[in-house]
Amino acid sequence: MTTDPHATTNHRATTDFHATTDSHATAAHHTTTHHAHRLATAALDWLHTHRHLGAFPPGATEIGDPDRVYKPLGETALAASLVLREGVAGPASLARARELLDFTWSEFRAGDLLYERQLRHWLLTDPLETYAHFARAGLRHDRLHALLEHSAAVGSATEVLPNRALAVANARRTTGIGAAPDWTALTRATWLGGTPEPWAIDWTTGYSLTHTVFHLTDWGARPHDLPPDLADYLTAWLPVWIDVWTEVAQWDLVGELLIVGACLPEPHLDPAEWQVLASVQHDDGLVPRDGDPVSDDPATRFADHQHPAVVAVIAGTLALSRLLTG
Amino acid sequence: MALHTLAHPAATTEERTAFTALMAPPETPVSDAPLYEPHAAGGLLLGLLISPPVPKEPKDR
Amino acid sequence: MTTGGRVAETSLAGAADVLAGQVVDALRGRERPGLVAHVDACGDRTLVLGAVRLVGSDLFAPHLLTGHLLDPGDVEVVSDSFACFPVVRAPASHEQHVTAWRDWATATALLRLADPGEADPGPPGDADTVLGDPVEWQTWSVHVAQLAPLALPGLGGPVVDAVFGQPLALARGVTRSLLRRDHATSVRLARWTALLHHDRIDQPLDPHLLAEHLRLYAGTSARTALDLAITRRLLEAA
Repeated sequence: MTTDPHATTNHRATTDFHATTDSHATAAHHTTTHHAHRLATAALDWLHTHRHLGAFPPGATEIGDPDRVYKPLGETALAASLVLREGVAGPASLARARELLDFTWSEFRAGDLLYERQLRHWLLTDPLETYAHFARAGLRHDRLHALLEHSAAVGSATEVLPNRALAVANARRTTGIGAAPDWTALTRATWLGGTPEPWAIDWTTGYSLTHTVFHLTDWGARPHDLPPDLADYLTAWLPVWIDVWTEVAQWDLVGELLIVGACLPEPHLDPAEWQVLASVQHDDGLVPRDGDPVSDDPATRFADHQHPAVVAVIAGTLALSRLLTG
Repeated sequence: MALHTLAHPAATTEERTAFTALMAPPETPVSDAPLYEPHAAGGLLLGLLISPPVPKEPKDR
Repeated sequence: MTTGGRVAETSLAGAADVLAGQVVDALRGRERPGLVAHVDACGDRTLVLGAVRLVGSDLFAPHLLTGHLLDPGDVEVVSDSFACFPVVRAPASHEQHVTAWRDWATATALLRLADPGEADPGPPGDADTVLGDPVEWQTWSVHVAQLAPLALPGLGGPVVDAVFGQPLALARGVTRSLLRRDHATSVRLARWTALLHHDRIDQPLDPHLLAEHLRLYAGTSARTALDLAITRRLLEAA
């Protein structure tokens, strides 16, 4: 199923934010601010309202399938940690972000669950990557921290996708664990680091490139850590990728690409692109992951659309932050 | 260039319409952009943090 | 569209494909019957003259790219095609603007070859009217693709100048069409990237990789083969 391109993407209205005149730029600025704010606020509300649908089953001692509860809880914690870090949300949203962080931390039994997972599978990196979101918000688990420092010292870099290696590097930077890695070597090993022809990309690679940017810039906190050639490359091609995956209603990926735009040294925040994503958000804040019908069953809705909600919170928050503070 | 008015057939209305349409071919109305496709090594992706949500089944659209 | 209209369009497109295949042969140095012989051999004169108008300036790609000599009979065939399918004198719709520009390209190419001393016919409008605003690169690039027959060496003019001034919009357009797997549009735009390369204009993607990718993936229709043959010649001549 695809959507009619002109009905949904508003191609004709696409303008480059930076190419517009001053008065247009101000209007565009306001429009993007409006969409980004609404998108993030409503998606955060939705995550907060339905957070218990993302909890471990009562009495669970194992995490089970890591993709089912464990990973989404970490993602929600990430979104909450960024809302708190940026501090551009209103008081109600900040309170919800804090509650979501506390909720996810308690689901991880104040870090014990991450500690036990790390103890059992000592070379896995996901406990570190998950812990980093809480560390960002000032939480700490001493025994886990000790395990992580030991792992970093051993330096057994298990073989993962290059953008995952950057995720580990950023998680260590965030938690203050280990020595500084060779960021250049890590970056150049990724798909994005090779600046391939912009049409040599597929859906999965699209996600890979977004994550390279997320980790290199620590989710928009260090836009200037992006090498200039990568920033130029992204500035040239981001509008194309957003256009192409907007047309086929891949809202989750589009949201991630919008985050990339907000992480650039010179942010790419095109009001038309934001308007499209804002327009597909439901009244209750749900952001559909794609153009497929959305289930009425609450558990299925949450399982299917928790990820795009996280993406929308991060995208809106970082965009708003860049618009307000540059 | 001199335009001849020799004894050649004039195109019918339908032919003219078809001609104009072919002169300015539109882009394909439906995009066939790349979507989720399971990789052969999909199992190795387990545990990916903040990875793309994997649809329950490959989509063929 | 009516059934009759569909039949007319299919027939015309088929006739244009046959003719495009002959131009490909000419570009590759193979024997071909020549335009006059081809038209004479075709049973439906309206159809074949429509094909001549559709292939238009590309009929002269072998002349402009590989030094073929003009057959005086070609001029008459083209003149007949302009009479059979009337010339747009006051273009109103976008399709009519495109038609006017493509006809201008045909006339200009022919004049250059037939009588190099004579002045070009005046362009049928300004580039912005037919192409639109390059800030809206999605639409702009589709219009550029429709005007691929203007992407021939030495033709020049306002549209060529406009495209030369927008390498990023062009590159975005061809990237978009490739990702949408709209190969027909991609091939037409690849031709423009080859012309930019031919005229030593910097662009943000590699026209050689693009042309090779399309050779392997864009199918084998005669129209596609012709655009790619012209693309390759432009890249080789650079």
